[in-house]
Amino acid sequence: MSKKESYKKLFKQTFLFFLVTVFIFVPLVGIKLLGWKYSLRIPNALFLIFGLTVIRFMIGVINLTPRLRGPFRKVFSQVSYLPHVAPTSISQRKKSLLFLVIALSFVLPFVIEQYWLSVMITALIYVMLSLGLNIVIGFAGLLDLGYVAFFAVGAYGVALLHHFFQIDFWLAMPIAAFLAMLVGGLLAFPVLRMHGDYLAIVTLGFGEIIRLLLNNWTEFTRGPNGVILPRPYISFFGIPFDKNSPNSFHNLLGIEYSLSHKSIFLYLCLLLIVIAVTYFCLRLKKMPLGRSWEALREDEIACRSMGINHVTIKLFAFGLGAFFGGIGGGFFAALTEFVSPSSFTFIESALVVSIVVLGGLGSIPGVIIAAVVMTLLPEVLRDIANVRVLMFGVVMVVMMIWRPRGLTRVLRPRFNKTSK
Amino acid sequence: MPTSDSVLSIKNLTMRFGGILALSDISFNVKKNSITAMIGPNGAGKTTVFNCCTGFYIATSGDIEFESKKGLKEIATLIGRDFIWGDFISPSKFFTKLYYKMFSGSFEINRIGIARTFQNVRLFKEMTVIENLLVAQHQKLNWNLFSGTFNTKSYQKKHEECIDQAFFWLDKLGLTKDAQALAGSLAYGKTRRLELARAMCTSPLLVCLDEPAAGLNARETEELSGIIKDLRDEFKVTVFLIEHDMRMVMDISEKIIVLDHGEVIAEGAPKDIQSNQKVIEAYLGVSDDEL
Repeated sequence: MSKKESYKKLFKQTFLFFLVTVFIFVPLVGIKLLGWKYSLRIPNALFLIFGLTVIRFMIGVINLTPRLRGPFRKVFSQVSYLPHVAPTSISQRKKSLLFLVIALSFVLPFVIEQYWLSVMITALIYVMLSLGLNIVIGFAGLLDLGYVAFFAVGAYGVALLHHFFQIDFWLAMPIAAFLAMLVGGLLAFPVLRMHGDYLAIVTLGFGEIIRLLLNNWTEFTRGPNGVILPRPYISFFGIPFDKNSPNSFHNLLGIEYSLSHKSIFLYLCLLLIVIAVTYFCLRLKKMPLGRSWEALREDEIACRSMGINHVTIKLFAFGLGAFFGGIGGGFFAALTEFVSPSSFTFIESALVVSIVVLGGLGSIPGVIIAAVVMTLLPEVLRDIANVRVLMFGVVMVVMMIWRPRGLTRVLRPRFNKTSK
Repeated sequence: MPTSDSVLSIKNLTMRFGGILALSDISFNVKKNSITAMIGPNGAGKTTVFNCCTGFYIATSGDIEFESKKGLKEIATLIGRDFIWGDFISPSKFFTKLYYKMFSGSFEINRIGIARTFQNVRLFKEMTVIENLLVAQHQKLNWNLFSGTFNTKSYQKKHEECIDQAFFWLDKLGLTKDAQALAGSLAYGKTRRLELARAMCTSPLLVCLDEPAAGLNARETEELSGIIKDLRDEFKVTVFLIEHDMRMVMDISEKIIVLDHGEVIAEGAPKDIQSNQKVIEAYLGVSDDEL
């Protein structure tokens, strides 16, 4: 195609693009509804329309200019991102970076204000959930869209154990987590024979069943009113964070009472558990169980011909994933001190699934980064709340075009011959 | 008749898919520590026999008996046959069947010592070559989550043994250089060999190879013949294979079974098969020049 022709084509495309933007932005941005009346804000719409059209045109020009095309494509081209094999040793830089991140996350609660601390705790809860779901989706390749059910079981388990038996958090949380594991195993039984889309639909339904159960079984779960926990609910292994009680935390230490003591404690506990779970997940990749999961994801028939019991390891995947979801739920109850069915809607499942996919299925560092980013991003963008959802969508679309296999590459462990 | 030196004996095996009779009443034995080949035109039912032997299909009727280390096992029973009315009268039969139906499955077949490869290579593509072999050795490893997490001495020891075993087979099949490569990135000939290595890593007594030489060139086929002979002579494994490459089949196998339209039309030593009129008509073509 000659240069003239290709520019002609570009003009045509730009004009079409212009028409589409007019079609979208004039009604969306150009008209503001005020009850039954409306006001026109055409300049805003025109600004967006012309801005986008110019950008579209520039991209076309860059693509047609050989000198600019090379570097442009380099930055914006898709990265194929196959898994890569771990190097023989971890570089010093990576080690120190890891150390720095861990040290920073331990110092963090002492320097940030209460609001951001609770945001960070939420982020850690999502890290926990994502690590759990990563086992089910990332490792075992079972698309589970009802993961929020286990989160709910964990949260309600903690709340109801307190409500009925006044059981302390540190005993209730493990019980609730095991309960979630049990529920995960129960779910796994009927869906063992299913794959892919069918599995997704059934798990989706299961998530809804749990939510509806919580909503409607009012005698047991108190229905939509939710369960209220006492404030402060969490205790320093039995020592309360109460303001007025004589043997509470701040009195024993002889320091001034502060609301943030409780949050700092919660944060640090959760951080330790998250680090332990992360280590466990990293080890799983080198353990026969994790390896069998990944083999199952790759090829179930080959797995069976290797003598792997696909039934039990699927059960294990659901159970362990649910267990971590239950821990996350327990901490969620401790953080909010109130649980109600409205916290456990499908959108939560969708968010956790998108975290796992964005992070890169099976990649643990990727999943952790994605979880932190996805929970912090809406908070950071709170000031520009108007376009927050739009930004969110744009980030997701760009990610899927640019890095379809997730933020980070999956790292395969290296096994060297022993020097015998 | 089944003889004491046969490792696998198939008795009156019939397999029906709806109205299609894939296998009709076939019987033959695979001798211990031998190489037995099964040949036949496309659609003759060769892979169906394999799938019955390795537990992916449950035969409509007939028995497949396998001489495992733990005694004689019947394969369809092990996977869990369907209930018949007679079972509801005899509780012991009922509960044995129920037990196998609930807790057993095709994975048990590998555990009694039958390994297989597939016609269309089935590797764990996004895992490394060495990981593929470690998956195959999962039964020798320590599955305890705690010892695995804290990497205890006993766990490490078993793990290292398995790694060494994996490297042994890689060496045997000339894949040592690719140990850390992704299985999906290997060349086709290598994927075939890796699949064989993976099957061998499960330490089987009988290995079923479904067209191991398909897509390999003449030199690779020759190497493979050497390896298969080694499996029998050096590692005392019985090899049961399906193959279309007549030169290879005639070269390595001690016994050939010819299948056509779900029936065994001939069995015997390569020489007899070559001169068998029925086989020539059904499979090798009218002229026998190609041999």
